[in-house]
Amino acid sequence: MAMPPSRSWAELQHDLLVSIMTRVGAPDLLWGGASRACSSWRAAARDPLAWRRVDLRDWVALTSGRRAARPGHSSSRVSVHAALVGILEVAAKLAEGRIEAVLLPEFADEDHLLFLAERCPNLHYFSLPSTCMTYDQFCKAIGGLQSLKGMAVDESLINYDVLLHVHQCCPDFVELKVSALYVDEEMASVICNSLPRLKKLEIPSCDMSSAAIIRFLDCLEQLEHLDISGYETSAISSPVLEKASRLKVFLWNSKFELGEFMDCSNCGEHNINPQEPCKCMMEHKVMDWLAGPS
Amino acid sequence: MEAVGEEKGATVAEEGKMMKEQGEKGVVASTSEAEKEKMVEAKGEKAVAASEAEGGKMVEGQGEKAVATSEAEDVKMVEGKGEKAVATTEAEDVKMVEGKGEKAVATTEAEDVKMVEWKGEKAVAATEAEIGTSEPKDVAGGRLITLKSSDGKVHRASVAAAQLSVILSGMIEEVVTDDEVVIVPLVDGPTLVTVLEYCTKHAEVAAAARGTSAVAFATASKALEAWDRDFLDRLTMDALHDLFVASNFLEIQGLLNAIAQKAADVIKGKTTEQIRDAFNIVNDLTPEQEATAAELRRKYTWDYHPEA
Repeated sequence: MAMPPSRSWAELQHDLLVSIMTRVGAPDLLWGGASRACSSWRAAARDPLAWRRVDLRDWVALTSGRRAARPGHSSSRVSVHAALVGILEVAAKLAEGRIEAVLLPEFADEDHLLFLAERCPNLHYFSLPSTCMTYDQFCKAIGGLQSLKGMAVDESLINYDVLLHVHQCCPDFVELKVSALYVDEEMASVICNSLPRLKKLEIPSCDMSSAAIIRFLDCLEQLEHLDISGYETSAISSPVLEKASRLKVFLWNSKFELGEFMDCSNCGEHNINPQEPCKCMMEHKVMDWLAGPS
Repeated sequence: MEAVGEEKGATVAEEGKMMKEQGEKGVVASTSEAEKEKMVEAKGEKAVAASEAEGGKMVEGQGEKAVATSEAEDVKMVEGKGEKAVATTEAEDVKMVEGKGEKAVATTEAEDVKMVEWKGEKAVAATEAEIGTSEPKDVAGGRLITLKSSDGKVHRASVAAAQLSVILSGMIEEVVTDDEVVIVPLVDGPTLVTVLEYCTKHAEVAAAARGTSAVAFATASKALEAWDRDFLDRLTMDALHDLFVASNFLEIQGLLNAIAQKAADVIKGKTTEQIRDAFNIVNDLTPEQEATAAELRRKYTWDYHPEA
């Protein structure tokens, strides 16, 4: 068969190009070639829809681009704090103030969250890894994010008053991801009591007591998705599996309860990055086990 | 004329059922192949060839030579020659027009083997076995639909697969008898074959996953995502482009999203020139737009000094 003539991706419909640009990511949209390939790609890269979700976690890529843009000033010093504000400013402009999700780098703090609350009040989700956030500034920012549906934060913010404030200010809040080393029943109680309507809870790579897991499963009646994968000694037992069977998604792994199986972890976050492939032999084993009694 | 048309329709319908039955056997073969896979881990290509040979045995009658030829093409695809995908798809199309469904079976088997290769574990084989289990239901109770692509070629697919497309789902509701042909404008034969390959896979996995636990559902979802990536990796950029346009027209959201992600992955990290080469783009930016871009870059830089 003769090969058909080569297709040009420049002639795709605008909304198809935008659907590609939404997945390219901020570093390539700002500094890469995507926005300068041709006029139709430029228009798509500048479409507000391409800036609804902004992933700034990979700060190295962003700063490399910035250095390339100013070769004559490579020695000039700009604080990373101010640089991040600048990028958020650009993103907010291009999104016409309608950013829906932001993943912030590790050094981001309450000033950046306050900026977002002021410029993008319709924000649905943010990821803020900082481990030294001040409660009052965080709560002030939350007060301006009434459309918030979910957030990813460090365990230092898992505090009853802080989370209750989130619950009170954000009526649609249903999703929480926590970076923590260890979760006991007390921390589980704080989360359950302050955010009773959670549908999705992610606490990956964390040592967690069996009582904590059972607490989540017992108290969060609307829970649909629980991810406690990524740690080697998660306390999975028969009662836990039985209670978890009501969930739509339950991600966990154990090298000990069911023998020597490979780890499985959910590598994605929210819906910005697609999940990487994971080996699920262990989960399949559980599937067989769950099918056994019936 | 009508009588002749009906007769051909009946023949195609029978062929479709044979395809389903053979597909079932193929799945079982893949299960046993999974065990062989562990023993000959370093010789994936031979395992694929073995699977193809087994597939060939199941095809009866005069089609064996044709199938063997097509399977050789499959092996080449495994070798990573993306250009072959278009030719193979077209070959498949021709055979389906002739009323012989052997190639579709071979293609299905090839995909199964690749999945097993990728995972290298019994979990996937078991999943395939589940799909095999659900096949009889599809054969017994599942309706088949006849689709005609823009170039006039005829394709058979299950209603469950076609209904992943919002447009096709609406068209099917208008169909009175199973012998009626649904005309699909704007999508040519090779592209429609690829679309139906995707839809068939997703419909099968959805049927197998129905009623399973949350854990099993998550497992099946991840395996399917891996299949999607492998499926798109086989395609040339031209085939990917046509599939992108078709998924938009037919409103197959999952496929459109997967292709957009694939294109985005190609873009990441590339310079402007590299992107133009990869996507066959001619620079049509006006000098003013180029100047504006340069200004915006300086402006972005300035934004890093809000205090200045």
